[in-house]
Amino acid sequence: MGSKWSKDDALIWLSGGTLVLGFLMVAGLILVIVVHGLGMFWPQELTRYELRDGRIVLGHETSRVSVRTTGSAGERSVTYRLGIRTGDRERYPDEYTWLEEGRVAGRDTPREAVVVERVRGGDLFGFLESFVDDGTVVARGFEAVRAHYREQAPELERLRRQRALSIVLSSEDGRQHSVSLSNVQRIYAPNEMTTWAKVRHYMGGAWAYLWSPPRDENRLGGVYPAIFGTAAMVILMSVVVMPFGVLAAFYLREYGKPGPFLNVVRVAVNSLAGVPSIVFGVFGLGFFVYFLGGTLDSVFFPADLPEPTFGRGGILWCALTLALLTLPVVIVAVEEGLAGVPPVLREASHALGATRFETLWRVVVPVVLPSILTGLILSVARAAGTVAPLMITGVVAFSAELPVDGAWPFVHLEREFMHLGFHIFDTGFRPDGGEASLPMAYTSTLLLLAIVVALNAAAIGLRSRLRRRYSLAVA
Amino acid sequence: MTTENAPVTPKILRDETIIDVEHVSFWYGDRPALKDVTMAIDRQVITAFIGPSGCGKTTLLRLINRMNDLVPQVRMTGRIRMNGVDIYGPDTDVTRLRRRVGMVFQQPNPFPKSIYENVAYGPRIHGVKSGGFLDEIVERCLRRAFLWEEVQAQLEESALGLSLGQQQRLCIARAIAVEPEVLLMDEPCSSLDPVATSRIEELMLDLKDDYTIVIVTHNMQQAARVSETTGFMLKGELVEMGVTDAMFTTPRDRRTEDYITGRAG
Repeated sequence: MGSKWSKDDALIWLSGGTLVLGFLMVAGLILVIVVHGLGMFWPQELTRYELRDGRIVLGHETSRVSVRTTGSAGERSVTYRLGIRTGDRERYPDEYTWLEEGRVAGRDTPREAVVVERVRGGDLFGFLESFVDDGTVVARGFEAVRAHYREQAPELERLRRQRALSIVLSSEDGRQHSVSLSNVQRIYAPNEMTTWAKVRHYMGGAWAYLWSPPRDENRLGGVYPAIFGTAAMVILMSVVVMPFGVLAAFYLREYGKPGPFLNVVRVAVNSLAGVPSIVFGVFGLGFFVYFLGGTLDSVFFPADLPEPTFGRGGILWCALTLALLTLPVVIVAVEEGLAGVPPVLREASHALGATRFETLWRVVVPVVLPSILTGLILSVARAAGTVAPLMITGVVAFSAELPVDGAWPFVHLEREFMHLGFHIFDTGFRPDGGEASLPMAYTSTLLLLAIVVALNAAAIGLRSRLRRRYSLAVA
Repeated sequence: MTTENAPVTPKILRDETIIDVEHVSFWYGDRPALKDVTMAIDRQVITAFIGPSGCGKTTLLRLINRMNDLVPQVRMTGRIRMNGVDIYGPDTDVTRLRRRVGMVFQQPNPFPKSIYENVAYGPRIHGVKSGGFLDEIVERCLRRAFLWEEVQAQLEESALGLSLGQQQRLCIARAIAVEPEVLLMDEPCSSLDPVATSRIEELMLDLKDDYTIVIVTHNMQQAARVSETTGFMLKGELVEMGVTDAMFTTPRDRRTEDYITGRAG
């Protein structure tokens, strides 16, 4: 039986198995990102855990891990430990705590438990006690406070400027927190929400995520400045890289005389594609930021020195660095497109008395347009996903200003900016080690992934559509 | 026709000669493609060149409108004159020459543009602006190429949607839109079916009244059907050239006889 196995069979199984393994790993990665990323805005029910020692913990379970222990007599046992998100950074660093499942005496989901999302300081979980208006208690108890809050909500913005409004929240162990309304982003009671209310809450959260600035050191709030910064930087990069890439490809394929020089240029272009991105970052820092930026400063902004204007990281330098990084992508795509233009088309044009330029402009460029667009979209996808070189040429974790705003001269190319990729790094790998911002990292990863996938899909779709249109019908 | 403007040297040329090829040899790199070819092409007749593949007939054709200029590392000796003027002379404007010597290729090669734009391409690059005059040119050329009736309702549609036979007629319409004197045809029917081929041949006979047509073909029947003069080429040499009927019935050269009777080639 076994002797019938040929080397061919083995190779088929090996290569097929490798393919399946790779596919499963990619699928698993995407699944993890999607599940975690999409779950971020779903209101989690709050559970009250009563422990055997009388302690009470309010929060929602995020993980349950098994712990193997060996007792003194050598007997083995398995216990479980619950990871609970508790909010309230003052009591629980990282807003997390661990509970031994065996020590939980009882659990319930109190209907009145609320989540108070604060602008600063993270979330608080607890129970509404009272609504305080300029030192006077105007409502007491869950229903009354909530009714009062909802009643005031439309005018809250105005009221909170005139009077000191606050709500008092008691945590599960009876401690009282007073939270100024100016620090309240949102209050909701997840345990009594209907599915419909949760969906609305989810939609609202997702919307706010896309369109609002971050809060609380990127742990909460939205990523709008990061999306904007990424888009602005990528557009700027495209404006720079496309003319250079397209013209370089035209020279290589149309005007350059085939020979050692062109071969050297091609090898150089291909090598450029293989250089680690951080090396581009170092080059960008040295050449663009220090040399070009420094020169600009000493020529145009000497009054501000030693405070640098262009001589520090900024969106322009990031765009130029990434333009260098993606130049090979554009050149290769356009060159391939040019190589695919049937020679008979050029001959037909020349035979009609067209010059080389007329042939290029009126026949070759329209045919090669899909390749130019493909090059553009591939370079955009590459640029949107590259972070390392940006970290030293102008990306920051948090920036209050967008690179485009209403202040003269409206476009501020020298400004540092936020970037989605760096946002992931910042939220996922904070030096303070907190897990509080991990959901945010997943969501931002999902968003970036979606953007890159959408761009690549657009590239493929565009290419196939235009190829159909320009393919020559031959017998 | 622009013959009035061209300087003529009557001593050498009979007045019906339009193209004079004198002792032309041609090399692709080190490989010789033409060996000392001398011949004359008469005005407003159809001249055919036949011969086996690689005999140099297409090379000869492409020398007449200088298409071989686009090929790197080629070399030529000898002289080719059109209306008495050396077309490889220092004063020759290649784009003007190609305007006067149109070309139709082996593979139908319409531009990936609309039918209208294909015909309008040549006039446009030579300065005709969009408008009624251009519309007239397009219609006239499409009619001249026996294509108008078939495509007049779809002028704005892609030329690539046409059948191969229609595409080749469109290429002929495109070529005559710049009003050439000479029309070079490089095996124009080799990718067409018999019906489409006969339509092209019909068209060629009709165009003969206005254009000098030079056709390269390895289809001897086609040469016999359409041409008045035929040249037989072999291994870069022009073996013999003369009146088509005479050549097919009483070839002077042994090699020609072998080829047309199917014994060689």
